[in-house]
Amino acid sequence: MVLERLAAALPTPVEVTREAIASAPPPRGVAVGFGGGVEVRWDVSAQTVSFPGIEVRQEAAQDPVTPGLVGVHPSGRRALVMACRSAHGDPQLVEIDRTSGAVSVKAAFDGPGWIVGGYFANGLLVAEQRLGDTPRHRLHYNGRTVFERVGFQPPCVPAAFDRDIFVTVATLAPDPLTHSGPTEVCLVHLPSGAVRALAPVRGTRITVDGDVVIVDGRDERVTITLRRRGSRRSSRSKPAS
Amino acid sequence: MYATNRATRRKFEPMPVERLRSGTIASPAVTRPPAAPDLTVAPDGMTRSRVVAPTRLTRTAIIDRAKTAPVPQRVQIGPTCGLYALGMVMDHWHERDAKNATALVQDADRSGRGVQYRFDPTTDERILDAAKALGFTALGEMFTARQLASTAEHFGYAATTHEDATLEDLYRVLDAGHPAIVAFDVDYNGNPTDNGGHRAHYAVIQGYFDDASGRRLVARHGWGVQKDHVWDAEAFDRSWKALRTTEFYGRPGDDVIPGHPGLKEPSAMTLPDAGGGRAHIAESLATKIVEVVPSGRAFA
Repeated sequence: MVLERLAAALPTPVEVTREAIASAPPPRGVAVGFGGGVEVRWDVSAQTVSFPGIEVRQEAAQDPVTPGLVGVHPSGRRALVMACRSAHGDPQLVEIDRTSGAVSVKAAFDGPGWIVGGYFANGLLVAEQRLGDTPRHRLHYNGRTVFERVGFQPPCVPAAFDRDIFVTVATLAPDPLTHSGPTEVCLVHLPSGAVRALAPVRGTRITVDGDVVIVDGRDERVTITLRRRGSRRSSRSKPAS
Repeated sequence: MYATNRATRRKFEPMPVERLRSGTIASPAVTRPPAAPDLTVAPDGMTRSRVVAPTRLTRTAIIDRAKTAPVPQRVQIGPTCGLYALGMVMDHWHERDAKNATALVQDADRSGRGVQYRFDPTTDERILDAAKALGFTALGEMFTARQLASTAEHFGYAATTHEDATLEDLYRVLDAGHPAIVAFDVDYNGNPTDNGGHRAHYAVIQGYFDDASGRRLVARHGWGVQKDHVWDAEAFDRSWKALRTTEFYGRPGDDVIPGHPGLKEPSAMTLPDAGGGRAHIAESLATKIVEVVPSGRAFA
């Protein structure tokens, strides 16, 4: 009940638009992330993480078909990549520092699965997908579980909406037999874990621009204009005349 | 007629979703016929049959019931999903008759009994070596379904490639008790997606069943991340139709495989150039079923 009230207090969509886009996938074994005006490229086959002007070597054993995603710090100075110790499991979330080249493991687990992460406020949002016969997905912030479901979730780097709310793509009600289901872009209230679904989406690449959330991927761009509680218009709306 | 009977026998009645969510499956409540002595009196005075306690089936039990062509798991090493899928199917037939051939995919399997293979091979020849010798593959990749079928024939099996196959064709293969090797566009969790058809992957379909949400497939593949996958048949249908191109060979015909210096394209690789460093696979891989059965002839 409390969570429902909190979820109801989250910003609401006032406009949702969809357009077809041509989206070429990155080359085999490559994942690309953006942040702070910087592109970071993780090449699993070459075992390198590339910032502009610097390349850091990173060992990883995952199948190039599933390289993982790249979360880039808003400063562009750090990035998070997945480095597995087996083809489809034993994943580690590794942070690479562009300035020093230092590498540190931020999260890891044993067994089949994948792990991705993003920067939020002063910490890390980490999404862990354990596979197996009872797949389980857990999203945690600095070790505290924020969102958890039995089933499969799509890999997605969460994006900050404001200092308390982040945006992610999730399957809120996985089918109990397939453990899968339709995906929706959602707002998650970090302090409480309250979730508000905004719209069905196919893609998982999230961009936040003021009160507008954009989700790209799978030949589709979904743009959602949100209204915060107590405000009459989104920040990108025209001012009242 | 035989196929129809099998399909009918396997079908499940629709199941209540709320029971599914609790982690167990309940078959529909069954009322006994009026003649049964176990009657109860309703508040309005009418008598009715007492409801029989539902039979509870777990997800695992549903899967096990649905599998008409179960295959032992093999976990692949390298980009070899098609060859390991074939290995699982060979194991299926070998398990039923030890005279049917089974083989390791590669020498690296030898240290992985119980993971990379289940049964002692009946031959010293490796499936990967055979596929390379036939000019079908460089590293284990198999982007042409017919060539996977030919690899099965090399090991003494009869193999049919169903071209432009439909789900109905798939059900017919399964109704005959034969495992079906198929390719699809795989997601990070090992399930079908239709994300541009860029991540082609093979699986073995072992059976199917119906529930309240529609028809489901039971599948197994070389990642080994889940014992048995359950897929919506419609989602799978979108996924195997989605296979369009691969960048594995870069520009086909240039005899170079990106990321693998010194490795040449396989001699029998005839994928058309799709431009942009990609090759078309829609004709060679999408909506294909490779049906492998014992031929009755010994593998020499």
